[in-house]
Amino acid sequence: MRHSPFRHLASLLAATALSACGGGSEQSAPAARTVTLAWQASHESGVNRTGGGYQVSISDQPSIDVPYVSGSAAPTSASVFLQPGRYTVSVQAYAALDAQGGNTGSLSAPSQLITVYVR
Amino acid sequence: MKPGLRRLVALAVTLALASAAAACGSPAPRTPQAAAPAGARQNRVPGEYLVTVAARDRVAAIVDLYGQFGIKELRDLGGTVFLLRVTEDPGPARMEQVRGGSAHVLAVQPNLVYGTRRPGSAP
Amino acid sequence: MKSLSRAIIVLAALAGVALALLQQVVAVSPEPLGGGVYVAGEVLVKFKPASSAQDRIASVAALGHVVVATLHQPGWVRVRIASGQSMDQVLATYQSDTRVASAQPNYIYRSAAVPNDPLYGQLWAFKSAAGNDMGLEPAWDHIADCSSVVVAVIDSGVNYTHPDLVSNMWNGGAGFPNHGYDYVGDHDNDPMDQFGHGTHVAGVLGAVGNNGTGTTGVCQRTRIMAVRVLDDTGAGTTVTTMQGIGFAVTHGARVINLSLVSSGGFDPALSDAITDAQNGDVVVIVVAGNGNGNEGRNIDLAGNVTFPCAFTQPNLLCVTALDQNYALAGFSNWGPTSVDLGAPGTNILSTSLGGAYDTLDGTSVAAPQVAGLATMLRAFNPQYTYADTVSAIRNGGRSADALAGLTATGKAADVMPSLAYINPPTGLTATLQ
Repeated sequence: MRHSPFRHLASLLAATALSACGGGSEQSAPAARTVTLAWQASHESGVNRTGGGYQVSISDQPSIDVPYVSGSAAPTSASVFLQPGRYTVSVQAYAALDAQGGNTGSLSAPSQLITVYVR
Repeated sequence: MKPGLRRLVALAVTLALASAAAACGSPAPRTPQAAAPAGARQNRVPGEYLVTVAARDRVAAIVDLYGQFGIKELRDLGGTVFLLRVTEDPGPARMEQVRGGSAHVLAVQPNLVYGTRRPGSAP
Repeated sequence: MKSLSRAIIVLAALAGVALALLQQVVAVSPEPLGGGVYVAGEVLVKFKPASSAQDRIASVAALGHVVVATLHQPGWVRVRIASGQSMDQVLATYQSDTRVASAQPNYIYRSAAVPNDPLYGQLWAFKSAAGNDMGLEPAWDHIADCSSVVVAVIDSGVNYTHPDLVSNMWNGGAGFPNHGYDYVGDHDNDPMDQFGHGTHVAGVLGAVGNNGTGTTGVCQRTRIMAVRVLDDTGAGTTVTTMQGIGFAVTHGARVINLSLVSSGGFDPALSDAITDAQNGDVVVIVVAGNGNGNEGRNIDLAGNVTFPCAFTQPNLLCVTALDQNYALAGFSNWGPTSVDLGAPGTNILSTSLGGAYDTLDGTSVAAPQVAGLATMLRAFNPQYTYADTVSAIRNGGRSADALAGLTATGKAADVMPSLAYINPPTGLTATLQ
C-alpha cells in the first residue's frame, strides 16, 4: 500500500501543532518568578529610624538592603526576581548605634533560614 | 439550726465579707497579722496554707476537709486561691494526705517564708 | 562701552543675588535632636573649590533641597533634604555629583553624661578606673530618663520621702498617694520602709540622678512603685509576695525587682504569680541568694535549690553578685542553670532610711542593677516585650571569666551593648507571585 503524501503532511502538521500547544512529550522551561519576602518588624527603635533597616541574604545573590526611609517603621518586605532553583533566605536587622555608644552600627544575628523553591 | 447548716452560714458570712473587699478592686484593710515570729526563720508560717479550689463555689469543700483542724480564718486571695489558717497545724504532709484526690480542692501548700537579713549581713 | 558697562552691572547684580542666596539662612524651626545619631532630614555637603556659587545652588535645588546655612569651613553647606528621602540615597546622589567633594550626615554629638551627684565617684558599679563596671556613662548619652516605664520594688517598702528618691516615685493617684501598697501589717496604702532594704534597692535602680544630691541610680529618672511585702525584720511570705506581684502587674509595672529568697522549696502559688506577670508582659528580676557566711553555693544542686531563682518562666532573670575585681563575690550563690548573669554586688552605695546613704553587699543589691537596666531598655525601646528585654540583657552582657560555668550565660550585665543589641528578625516568609 502506498502512503499518500498528504497523509505524511497531515501527520507532520499535527505533530507541529501538538508541540506548539505543549501537548507533545516535551514541556516548556520553567520561568523566573517574583518572590515577595516578608518578616516581622523589629522592636528596636534604632532599626526603625534613620540609619536602621534590614539586610536580606539570598544564597549566591547580592544581599538586598531595605533601609528605613520615613514613617514609624522600616519596611518589612522586599520583592526579588529569581530564576528557577532552590534558595536559602535570611534577614538581619541593623541600626546606627554601636556597642560603644557610637554610630558605627550594629547588626543582628540572622533570622531563622527559610528555603525557597522557584519552579 | 443544724450544725452543718450553721457552719455553712458562718462560712458564707466570712466569704461574703472577704469577697466584697476583693471585688472593690483594692485590698481592704485586714486584721493585722502577726509576722513570722522573730528568730523562728522557719521555711513556712505555722498553721497557714494556700488552698486552690476548682471553682469559687467549691469553697465549702475546704471547710469539709480541713475543719477538723479548727479554722481560724479563710481569706479570699483572688481567683481560686484562699489563705487557710488553722488552729492545730498538722503539717504539710498531713494536709496533702487529707486533700487526697479531692475534685474540689486541687492543691494545698504551706505559706512559705521569704526574706532577707537585715542590711549589712547580706540576704 | 555702554554695553560692557551694562554687562558688568548685570553680572554684579547676579553675583550679589547668588551670594545672598548662599548666605540666606532658611528659617528652620528648631527641632529636638532626639535619640538618634544624625540630625534627621539634614546633610552636610562640601563643594569643590572650583564649583561656583550658582553651581552649588543648582546642585542643591535640583534635588529639591534647601541650603540652610553656609558653614565657616570653606565649601561646606548645611542642607535640608526633602522629606521621605533616605539618608543613604541622598548621600550617594551628592557623592556622585562632580561638583561635590564630600557629603555626610549632620552627626549628633553629646557631652559624656556624667551626673553631678556628689557621691557619684563612689558608684564603682557605674564607672570604675579598672573598667570593671556596667558602663553606664556611654549609655546615659542616649538615655538617662526611664520615666516612661514603671518599675516595682517588691521588698520591705521604700523610704519614699528620701530626697534622692522622692521625685522618682510612681504617681499612684488618689488611690495610692504613697506610691504603692503595704501587704504586711496594716495592709494599707502606705509602703514606708522601716527596715532599709527596699530603700537601698530602690536607690540602686532609680535614685534621682544629676540633681546635685547624693547618688544616682541606673536610671537617673524613673517611676518607682513601692510594694511592701517584707516586715521590719525583712520577713515576708508566699501570700504577701504573690499579692505584691499582683498589685504591681495590675497597676502597670513593666519591671519587678524581687530581692528575696525562700528555702522552703518549690512554691506553686508564687510560680503562678510569676506566670501572671509573664502574661502581663512584665520582666521579673530575682536573686541567686547568699550562702552561709562567705560561702556561696551551687543552687542547681538538689538540696540547695533556691526560689524564686529556680523558677523557669522566660520572663525571669536571676542575678548573682560580683565584687570590684569582677570575681564572684564570696558569699554569692551560683548555678549554671538557674542563675542567668552577674552584676556588681559588693560595696554598693545607695539610699537608706532617714534620708541617708549606706553601703551594702549582697545579691539583693546586684539584682536592682539589672532591674534598672531592664527599665532602661524598655524605655529606650517602647515596643520591647519581656522576651526582647531578657534577650538583650543576656546577649548584651560581657563575658566574665569568673562566671564561666557558674551562670547560664557566663556574663556580667553590660548596659551599652545591651542597648545596642538587636534581636534577630522573626517570621520570615516567602510568597511566589
